[in-house]
Amino acid sequence: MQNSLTYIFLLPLLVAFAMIFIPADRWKVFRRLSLAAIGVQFIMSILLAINFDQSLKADTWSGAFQFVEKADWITISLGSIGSISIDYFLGIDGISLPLVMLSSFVLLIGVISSWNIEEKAKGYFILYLVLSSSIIGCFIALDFFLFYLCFEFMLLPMFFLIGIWGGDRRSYASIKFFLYTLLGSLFILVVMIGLYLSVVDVGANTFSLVQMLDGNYSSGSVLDPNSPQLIFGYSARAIAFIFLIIGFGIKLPAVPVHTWLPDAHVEAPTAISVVLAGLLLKVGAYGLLRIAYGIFPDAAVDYALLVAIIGVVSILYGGLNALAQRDLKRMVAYSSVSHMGFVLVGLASLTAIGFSGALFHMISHGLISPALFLIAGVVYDRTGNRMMENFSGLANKMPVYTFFMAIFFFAGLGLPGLSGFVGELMVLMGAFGSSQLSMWIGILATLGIAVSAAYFLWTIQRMFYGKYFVRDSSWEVNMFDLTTREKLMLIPLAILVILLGIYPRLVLDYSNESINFFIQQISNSTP
Amino acid sequence: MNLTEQLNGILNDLQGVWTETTLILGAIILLLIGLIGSNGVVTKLLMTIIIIVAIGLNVSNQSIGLLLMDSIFISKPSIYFGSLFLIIALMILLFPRDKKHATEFYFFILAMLAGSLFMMKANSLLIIYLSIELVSFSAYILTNFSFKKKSFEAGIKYLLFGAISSAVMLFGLGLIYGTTGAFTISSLGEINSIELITQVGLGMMLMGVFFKISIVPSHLWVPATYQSAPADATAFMSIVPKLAGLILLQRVLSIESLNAHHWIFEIVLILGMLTITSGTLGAFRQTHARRMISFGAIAHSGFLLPFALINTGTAVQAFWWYAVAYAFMNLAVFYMLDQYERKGVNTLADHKSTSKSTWMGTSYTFILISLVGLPPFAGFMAKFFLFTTLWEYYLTADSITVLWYLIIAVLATVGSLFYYLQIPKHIFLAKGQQNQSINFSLWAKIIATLFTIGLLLLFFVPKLVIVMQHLLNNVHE
Repeated sequence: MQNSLTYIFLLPLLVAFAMIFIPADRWKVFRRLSLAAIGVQFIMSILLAINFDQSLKADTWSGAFQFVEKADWITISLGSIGSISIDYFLGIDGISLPLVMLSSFVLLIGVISSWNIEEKAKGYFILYLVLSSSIIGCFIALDFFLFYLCFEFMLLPMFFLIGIWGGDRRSYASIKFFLYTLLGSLFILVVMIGLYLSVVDVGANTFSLVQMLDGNYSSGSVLDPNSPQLIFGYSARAIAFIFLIIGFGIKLPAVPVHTWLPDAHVEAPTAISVVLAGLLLKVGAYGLLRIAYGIFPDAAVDYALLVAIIGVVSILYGGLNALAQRDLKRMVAYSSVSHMGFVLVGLASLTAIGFSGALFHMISHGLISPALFLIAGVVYDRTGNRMMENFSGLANKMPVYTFFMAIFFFAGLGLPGLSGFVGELMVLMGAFGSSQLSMWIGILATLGIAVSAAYFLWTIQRMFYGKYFVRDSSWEVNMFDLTTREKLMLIPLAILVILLGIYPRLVLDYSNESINFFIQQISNSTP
Repeated sequence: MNLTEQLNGILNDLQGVWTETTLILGAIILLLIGLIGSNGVVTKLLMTIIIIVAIGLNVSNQSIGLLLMDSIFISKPSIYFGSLFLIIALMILLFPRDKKHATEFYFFILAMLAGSLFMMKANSLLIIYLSIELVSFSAYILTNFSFKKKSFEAGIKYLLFGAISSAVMLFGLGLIYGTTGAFTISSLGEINSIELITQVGLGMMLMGVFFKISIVPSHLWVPATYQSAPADATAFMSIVPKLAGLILLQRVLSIESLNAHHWIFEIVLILGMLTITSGTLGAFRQTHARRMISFGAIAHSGFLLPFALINTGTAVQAFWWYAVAYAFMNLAVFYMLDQYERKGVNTLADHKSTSKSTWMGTSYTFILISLVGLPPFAGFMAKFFLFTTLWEYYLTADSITVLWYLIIAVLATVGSLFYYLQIPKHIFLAKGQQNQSINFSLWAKIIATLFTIGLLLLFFVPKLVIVMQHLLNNVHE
């Protein structure tokens, strides 16, 4: 398993590079190559999971990661402050492993979903593969600079994927997406530089996330917890934490910086919505967990209530917005906002079960939301329309479609036995059990589940029950049931959603030790 | 000291200005050959030879410090920046240029180059004034080289602005000399305390330098001039005199009696912030591609300005880094603008017609993204070093203005994404495009690709820039 992370990380990029030299008129080659690349990536991530040591107990963060790879990348001497050194530093622990698995799986679904892209296929698949590499890179990077590079480098492919292959208002949506996320990542950049100037590894400043997590600050530096410094009259560490909340919160997305998401989703082609909802949002959540909470546990305790309130507002506001939508895809997009609020509440609880719940909910939502977008894509592919009032009684005409729709809608609203329930339950247990949060947070979050039940069930009632009807008679011919390709995508997702709902240890066994260690580190740092 | 010794001293010191002398002699030869009549290839070849000889002389120059009766000061940065300027002049030759008036055009490029080198090395107040005028006059004429009514208008506008700021500057120089009797910057540095009237004089002198660097409020000439001057002249004007001016500014501001908490510093920082803001906001509503990029160049002046104030170890390296990246990106973007304009693509909306030329469009996008400062391109490293410099300086000097500078620079970066994206947006995302295929020459595609690879390389191997600094700098201590 030597260098396996490098292969997983760089394989799609390499294939993308090779694609440049293939003439564009052989468009079928591109999707096959992409499938092969992502397929190999998926198989390698399974191998990774098999070889992963679940029982590894760590004393420090530097011992907590497995499959570690490290090499010098950039070293520049800068006169007085020594040198800037950036490493190529990869590694995974029990928190990132499930996310790597999820990524390669959802990316595979995404390729299958992109199978009908024929227009400018070359560009599409090159961008898709570059996106794949950078998403995986975010989850495995242990050097902040490398993480940031991957984090930023998702934007450009995403911008074009939405902007070129998207719907009618695509240029508006893609620019909005790009601007919002760039604003967020610049907040992160500022914190990154601050951390770089504060954290040392053997005497030299470093970007190593491991050293940052272990808190090897040089004494008297700006973010050193032992020598509190003020910026504009506020504690520097608190400001850094808030900046990270804003930066990753935009990606997450949390209310009130979520408005790019519905637009991006509605305009994006189905496959890109799948990746966007399934993975990009998780990158934001992962960044919060690993960086904001890992490096600034003291500030996390101080601002637990603030984060929880943002979370609850996201749950309720996102849910109520979803309730008001007439566009199926927009409804699903707002449900994503609502669901990602649970991740925030889980993190804010600062308990082991809340953290596990947040992680589990990330994985579960990473499976459910791609499926929901695929469901929305089915109607749109057939009719070019996805307004709810234009359809009714689809259950009679498309029974298989209705079956899958039901599984994922119920998973989304948190029916026991499906994966959505486990995550929400654990988050709520964390929220009620937390010493940081008042009981109201838990109560309001529970109310969010009721709202989600309302919009999912109402949608089922409007679109699937009743007498069969489509607005335009010309659509009639296209209203056939699921094709093999669509089943090929929905069946594995459905199996996983059910499997995780019945046997959540599939994920939790991997993450347990890491999360226990994480919580222990947080309690150590706050006497 | 008798006359012979003095003459010998001058002859020795001349070694320090051989580069500039070569450029001026070369320029005259070029003009003479132009009179006899020559074709484009010969002109470019001659230019290449002149510049390569000049680079050789510049790199092998051993004299450093005060020269020629203190009128010139050669510092280490002025040597490696000098080489950078010469390399940029060499790269200007990549731009296609018609045979007509080619020799005159390059004559003025060489004159501007010599002026910039002098400006960077100037110590005597007179040399400062003369070098700035040499650069300005070359620039006025170069602006008119596209021989259109519009460019004549821009040239006049530029001339008027230039005349005013040069008058203000001259007044400032007079005040400095009149109050202190010091005629060189180095002797000004020896005076312990500088009275207010001298400070005012210094401030007025800085106006003249700001005019060259295009700092608010003397930036108003930039959009019109950049828009109508020939692309290669614009690329040159937007890089070389700007960087030279910054180095001069750095020298003036490093006068010890002006310590870091002096009001001039605060004013310079505030003007820098205003420059970033007005460049960014100005670019938003532009419909003309070149004009938009010009506003971007104004914002970049603001990004570069702190390097002239901060002289920490990081800042010195970061300045060099930003300068190289900026020079490279600006050359690239003006090359692309030139290529597109030659196909009749001027306004943003015109770019819709080029959607079929994916290769050029992609390279163009990468170059613009680099100008925004996103990874994995050189521009990101430049911004990263800038932010690091500001952060670090804020921490050491505890200057709240620098923190504001950082905040504004960060916000402006987001803003710059918005306007730089307009071009890729119109190339790739526009709907209802007429899809008339515009074909670019293979040569253009190759150069565009090389520019892109260069930008990627600078990101992944940032050490290259530092290595280059050592190579271009023969004076080792």
